[in-house]
Amino acid sequence: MSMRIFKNILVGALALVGLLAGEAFAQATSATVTVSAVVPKACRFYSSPAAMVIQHSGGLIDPVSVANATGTSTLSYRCTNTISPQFNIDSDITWGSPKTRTVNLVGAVTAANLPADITVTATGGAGTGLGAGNDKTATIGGLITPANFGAAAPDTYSKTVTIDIQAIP
Amino acid sequence: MKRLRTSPAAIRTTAGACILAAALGCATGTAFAACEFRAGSTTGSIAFPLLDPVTAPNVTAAIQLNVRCQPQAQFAIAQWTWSSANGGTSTGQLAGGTPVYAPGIAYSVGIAVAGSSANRTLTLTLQIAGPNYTNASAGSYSDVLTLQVTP
Repeated sequence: MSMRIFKNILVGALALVGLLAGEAFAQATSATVTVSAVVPKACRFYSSPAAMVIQHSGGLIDPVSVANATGTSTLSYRCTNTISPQFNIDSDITWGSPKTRTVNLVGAVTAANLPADITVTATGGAGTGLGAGNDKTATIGGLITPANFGAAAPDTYSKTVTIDIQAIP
Repeated sequence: MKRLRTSPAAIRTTAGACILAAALGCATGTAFAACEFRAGSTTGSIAFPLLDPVTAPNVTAAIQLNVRCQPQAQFAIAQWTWSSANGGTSTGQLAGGTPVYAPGIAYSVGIAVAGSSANRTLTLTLQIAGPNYTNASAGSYSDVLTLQVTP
């Protein structure tokens, strides 16, 4: 093989290597990155309820009435978009929506118990997000039956009830 | 002492080499004078911390990629650009949620290259502002960012 032919082959080979290397290099001028995130289900209260008075009228229970004594209050909540809340009362073993639990009101003087049914209902329905302007209303209902208040001694009965909220799993 | 190549055969050989190099190698030479994502840095993944919609803080996540410019001086003019599969070139966009959250979750993209040699580190920093996800549906979201460098 003459020197001239050898040189041309060498130049061609080097150029080919360079071309291949260049192609491989060009493939690395881009990169792809997968991005991911997770938004969890969540619900929170955004207000405290006003005191709820269970009564017939004027803040009193009529002991001879045959109608239930009732009371209502409200508080606001927000949940993750499209997620509904559920509630708990005084750390009960079960959650519900609505959630009802019977609690004992305690007489201020007699220290006697007066059973009352407390119910929390997500009146506002599913959440629309936890940002400002997405408040929903939860209604708290209180009920004392004639059978219970009819047997109660005259007194002022009360109890502080703790209500918790969470997203329905 | 180096002998000058003045013979006709030598001139033909040199000219042939240059022509062949121009046809094949010179373009390749231009490509070499550029930047690249190094092996092992052409793909990656970033997972944001859990996006708590209750407190909704600004959330940041980052990844580092290894890059190289050859020659090194190319770093001065290299353009590192990106595009989002669900968004565009100005704002990244995470898509997903159950049900699908139509607005998506927008995030910002920052690119910074640090180092002093031909081999350097590119840091890709992503941030989601709290208001961008506080009203999002629950569930998983994703996007694919494509990074490119020129030259």
